[in-house]
Amino acid sequence: MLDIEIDGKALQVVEGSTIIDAAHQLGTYIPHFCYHKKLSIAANCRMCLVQVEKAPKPMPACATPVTNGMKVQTHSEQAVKAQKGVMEFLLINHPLDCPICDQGGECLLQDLAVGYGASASRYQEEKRVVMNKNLGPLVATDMTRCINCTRCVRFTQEIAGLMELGQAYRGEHAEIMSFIGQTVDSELSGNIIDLCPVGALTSKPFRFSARTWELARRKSVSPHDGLGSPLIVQTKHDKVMRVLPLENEEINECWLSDKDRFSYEALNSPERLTRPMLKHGGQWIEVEWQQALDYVAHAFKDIAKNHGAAALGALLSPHATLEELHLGQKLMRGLGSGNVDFRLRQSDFSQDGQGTPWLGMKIAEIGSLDRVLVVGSFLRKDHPLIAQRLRQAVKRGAQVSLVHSADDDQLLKAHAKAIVLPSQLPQLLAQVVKCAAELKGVSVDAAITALAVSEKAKAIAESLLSGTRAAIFLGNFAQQHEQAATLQALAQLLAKITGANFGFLGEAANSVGGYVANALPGADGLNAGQMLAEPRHGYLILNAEVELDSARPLQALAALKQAATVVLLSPFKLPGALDYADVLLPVSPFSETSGSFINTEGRVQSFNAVVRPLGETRPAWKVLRVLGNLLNLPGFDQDSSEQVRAEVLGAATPTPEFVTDRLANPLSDVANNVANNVAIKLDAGPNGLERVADVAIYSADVLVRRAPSLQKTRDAASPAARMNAVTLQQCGVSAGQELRVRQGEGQAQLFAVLDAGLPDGAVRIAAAHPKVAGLAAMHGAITVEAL
Amino acid sequence: MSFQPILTAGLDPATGDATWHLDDYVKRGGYAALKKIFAENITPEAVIAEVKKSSLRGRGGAGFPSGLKWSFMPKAYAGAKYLCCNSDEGEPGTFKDRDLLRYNPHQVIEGMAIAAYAMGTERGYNYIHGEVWELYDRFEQALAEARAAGYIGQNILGSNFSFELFAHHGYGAYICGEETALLDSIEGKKGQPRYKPPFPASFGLYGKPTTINNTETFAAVPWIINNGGDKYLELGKPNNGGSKLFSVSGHVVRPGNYEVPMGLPFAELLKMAGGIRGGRRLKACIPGGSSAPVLPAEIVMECTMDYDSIAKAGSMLGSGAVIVMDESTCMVRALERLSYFYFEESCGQCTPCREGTGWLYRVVHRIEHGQGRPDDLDLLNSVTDNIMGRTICALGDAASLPVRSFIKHFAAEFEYHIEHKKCLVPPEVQKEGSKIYVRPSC
Amino acid sequence: MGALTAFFKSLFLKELFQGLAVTGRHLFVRKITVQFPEEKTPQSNRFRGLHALRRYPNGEERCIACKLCEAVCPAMAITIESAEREDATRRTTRYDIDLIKCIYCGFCEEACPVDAIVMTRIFEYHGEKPGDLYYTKQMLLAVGDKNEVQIAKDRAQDAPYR
Repeated sequence: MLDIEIDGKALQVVEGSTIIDAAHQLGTYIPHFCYHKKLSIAANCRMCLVQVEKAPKPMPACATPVTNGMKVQTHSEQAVKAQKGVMEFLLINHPLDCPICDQGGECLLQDLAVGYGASASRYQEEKRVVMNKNLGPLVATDMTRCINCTRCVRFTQEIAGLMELGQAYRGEHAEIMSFIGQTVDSELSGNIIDLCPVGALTSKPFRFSARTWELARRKSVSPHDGLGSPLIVQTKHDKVMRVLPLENEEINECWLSDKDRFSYEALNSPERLTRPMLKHGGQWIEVEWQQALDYVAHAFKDIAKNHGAAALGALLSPHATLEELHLGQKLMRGLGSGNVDFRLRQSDFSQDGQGTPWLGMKIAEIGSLDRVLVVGSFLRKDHPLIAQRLRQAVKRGAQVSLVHSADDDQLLKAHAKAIVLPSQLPQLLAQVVKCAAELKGVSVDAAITALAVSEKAKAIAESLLSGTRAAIFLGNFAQQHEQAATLQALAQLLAKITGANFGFLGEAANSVGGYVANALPGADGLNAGQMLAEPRHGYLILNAEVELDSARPLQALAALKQAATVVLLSPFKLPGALDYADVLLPVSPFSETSGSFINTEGRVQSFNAVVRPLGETRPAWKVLRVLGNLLNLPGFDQDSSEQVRAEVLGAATPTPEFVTDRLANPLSDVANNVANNVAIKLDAGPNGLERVADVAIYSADVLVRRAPSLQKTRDAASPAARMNAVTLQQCGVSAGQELRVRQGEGQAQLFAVLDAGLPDGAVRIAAAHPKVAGLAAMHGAITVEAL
Repeated sequence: MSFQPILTAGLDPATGDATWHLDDYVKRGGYAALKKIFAENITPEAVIAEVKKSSLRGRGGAGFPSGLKWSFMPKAYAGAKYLCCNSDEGEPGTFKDRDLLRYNPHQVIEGMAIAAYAMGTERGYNYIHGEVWELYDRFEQALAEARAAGYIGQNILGSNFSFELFAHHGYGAYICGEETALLDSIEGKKGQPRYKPPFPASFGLYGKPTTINNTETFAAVPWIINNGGDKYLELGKPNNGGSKLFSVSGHVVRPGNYEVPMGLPFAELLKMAGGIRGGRRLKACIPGGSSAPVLPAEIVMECTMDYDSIAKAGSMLGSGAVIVMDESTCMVRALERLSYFYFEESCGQCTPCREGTGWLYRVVHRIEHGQGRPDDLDLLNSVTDNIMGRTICALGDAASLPVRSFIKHFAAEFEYHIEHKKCLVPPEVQKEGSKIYVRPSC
Repeated sequence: MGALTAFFKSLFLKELFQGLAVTGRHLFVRKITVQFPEEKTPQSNRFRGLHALRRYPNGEERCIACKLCEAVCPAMAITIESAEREDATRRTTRYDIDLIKCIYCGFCEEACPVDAIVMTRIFEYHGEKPGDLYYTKQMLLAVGDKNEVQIAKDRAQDAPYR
């Protein structure tokens, strides 16, 4: 500990602290622009100059390490003169366009200019003008306002992992720009808007639409990925205008992925459903709620009476709230049907009844891991901020290994990578298990010991065993894999051998919540796959586009089309549903209802509505509750979402912050011979080509698909058939050529794209896009022919 | 005692361009110091002690004692350590390293090898200014010769000391002559100074301990080892050891590089350079490269050419670039040119320098072009106040010092300019002074 | 004593004559009654009457939707919505002043960085229905277009004191 005195106040700080750290500890504000707690120190704005005793000149507080006995004056004459001098320099070339600047009112330069700026400028020469840059559909630029603090540059380099911005040219001509002809395509790009201390980088979707002082700030929670980022939703006149991160060091730190930040645009989409609708003689008519709900109640009662309750099924979304999922399953079970599921993209359900998959640890602990194995995950796109945490861990010396079917650049230095066909993933993981077992001297199943071990598997096993805090995570791709259970068992076994933590990277905001709410079939019910494979008479769908969100879209569409009654609760007029549904009930998106999400680390986050429901939209939990009443089911008399939550989580107040005591990853209590309990299918898979399907970041759920700005990004490009050079040659096609892709009964027309990161024989086609909804499944054999 | 040149020993300007090769250098007694170290088993500590004794000070401009700098390198550091030679000579008026590399590259190589031995580094870089490409080429050839002869490379001269030396060229940015910007440039980044601390001795090239010295500093090392530090010190004045190359330019009859012992009176140096052209009078002199404050004739004529004397007079010896200005010089125009240089060469990283250098240039430009305002001189002084000491590197100071000193010593000329919208020095006199000067045969 | 004084005062009608004296004096001084609407009182160039939105001489509307007038309005009489126009400039899509709420304090004009919202000399306006005094952007621009000459003259006159 070092002693330091700031403005006459003594305190002790840890060694290696800078003056600004010490000042923050004391609550003393030192003006600054380039300094940011999460970024490296640049010391280039010079605004934080302070007087240090015995130093001949003012020192930058952000970069000057504290020495023992240091005496600092932050507001002495010398310090303030230096700060005022710097402010004058910053302002001489800064345009006086605060009235048209979106940063006006929340601008660091504006605020500090009040304290340190002069009322008139001594600079009477021509001001600098800098041409604006095109940074893509999310970030608007006014580069003349730039003060060259390089926060954005450091962000792209250090946090986002790829230096997409840089400072070109010298001296006064210096400007921040992206690579020539390139935009900023990071999935975290929106954060540079928050970081920019001036109005040089602003939000393009928000551009000129409101001023910060008009906006109400309300807390909410992101409904997208499993992280559940806390949000500040800014609203005006009951309209969501903008979304900002709510800082939480344990979840999102101070960042937000673009998906969480810009998906709000969908809330104001013209596709919003505002009144209940019934299909009458093939025509959609708008009706009153009462009429619509009566219709649904009658239809479900009829089906239950004529075909048995098992002819009903509920397909819920993992993006729905805990309360909605609970009431949804309660309604189905009340009707006597156990057919309820929220795991629409899962295709292997053989682990059902054995646990509640979750991360297995705190999100905040990811940064302190030193050995990580991620199995089957499009990490950056599926979990942008968890990828960011791993990236920082790698910088601190952690080894991250990847086992996957596509070698996407995760922008982190992977220790070892094994990229194999989806069908070979279990075998590869088994090789790692074998290797680890040998190194540890543990005996494993003979099926595993018989395997030949590849170099990569060996490297991964050695890495896992060499650390002190290891973790193995299964990503979305592994969870959606046809042999997901096998992968889980192997990963679990590997974790046991290596002493690593084992966990799942939750796919959606409520992937854990769905389990807690028991929105999945028990022994008597059908799961999502079965419900669609064995068509039902009536379906209740909550907030999902089943033909896109399902593991087998073709089958799903057929099942829904044949059904007598399909009831869709959705905030949107989903184009597919207009065809197969019979009743559309407008329910609130996350911004218009109260509810809770349980994120992948088991954290319960409840939120309130931030705006009034649009039109006649109603919160889904209320709709389900009234449906329950109309069906005369017991236990549907809740008056608030809190009461529904209490039903699920217990009435204890305050509601527990974590429900980790209810969570257990599958097979957690099975002993060492775990492999015997799972039939390890190590067959090589179908001959020929195999499909590798990712769910593209901006087609993952109903909301993001309707966010126009996100849909203009590169990540939202329409799917293509990606193959490596060998596969292309094998198929006799070349990159850029249009192909006919056949899978099962279905087909799609796509362009061939060369992707060197794929294994031989793999055809990567993104799922969850209307263009590929004709393909049978997210996995399995596929054929390709030139058109 | 007549002075025997050290750095330029045995070089003849007439034939110099052909005698830079290894053989010539060895004939002149080259590589003797390196051989001596291994033959006499001189320890690295002893080498550093000798350099300390010589009171050799960095010839790049700051004048930091070299022996002291070398002793900062962590001795027991496990891992790579680097040695860099700063030949990124970009300051107006400075051209000494250029000639050293042109006529005597092996001397620099030998100096670097000795320094590397003293500090236990196995890898070195010579960063050569991008605008003297042919010298970069020549240095590469010299390296090849030295490598073939075993003066650098693995197990130098049969010892168990290895030192690999590489040439690296910049693209002409002045800022890359700042030592940490130079390191960034070698690393392949945009050359921008780093904030110090940490200093290169603990966090330098690729984050490893690094020592950076000027070309001339390295070139002086072999002589010190051969003849002893004491002898070197005796050449000059106490605390200002040895000899120094002065690049004399401007209104002198024979501009060029002159190696003289430290402490030589300025008047003698001027005499060596043939005095002022055309019999005109000396008006002012910048004694240490464009970033040093200007000294008017009456002050500079009293100075001796060493670090302490020039500092006492209110300027800096810097890199030893003596820019001589005679009475035909318009000081406003001279300052405008200097300000423009710093405006162009600021790296743009930190605010005061990025914004301030442009402001300074524009105001001086305005004054020169007859649009000065009465309070412009106060404004200039105030702006330099706000730049100096507030920047990451010394370029901010370098841009401010000329402005301040020009205004301090030649205020009348500036005021005349502002008031009368024209030069105090008549245009025809200026024209006469800036005529292309044909050196009389000597 | 007091009662006696009061008696004599009322006896000689002193107060009555005092009052009549005032009346009499005013019979002869200059009359200041203005025959409105035939006659009008002089107005200051800072008169705060009906609002107007101004344009630049090239026809471009001045208002840049900075919303400072909306923020400063103590009566919350101004409602603005803004968006990016096709030429990428910041413009209002709605600029309404509810004249019934307005207290004519002139803060909006003070706050305006581009002299877009101004208060004219017009004070003779009325509405027959409640909505008539809710001025929209088009109405305000029309007021500005009609009175631009006078508005510009008034601003120019006042400029030295701003």
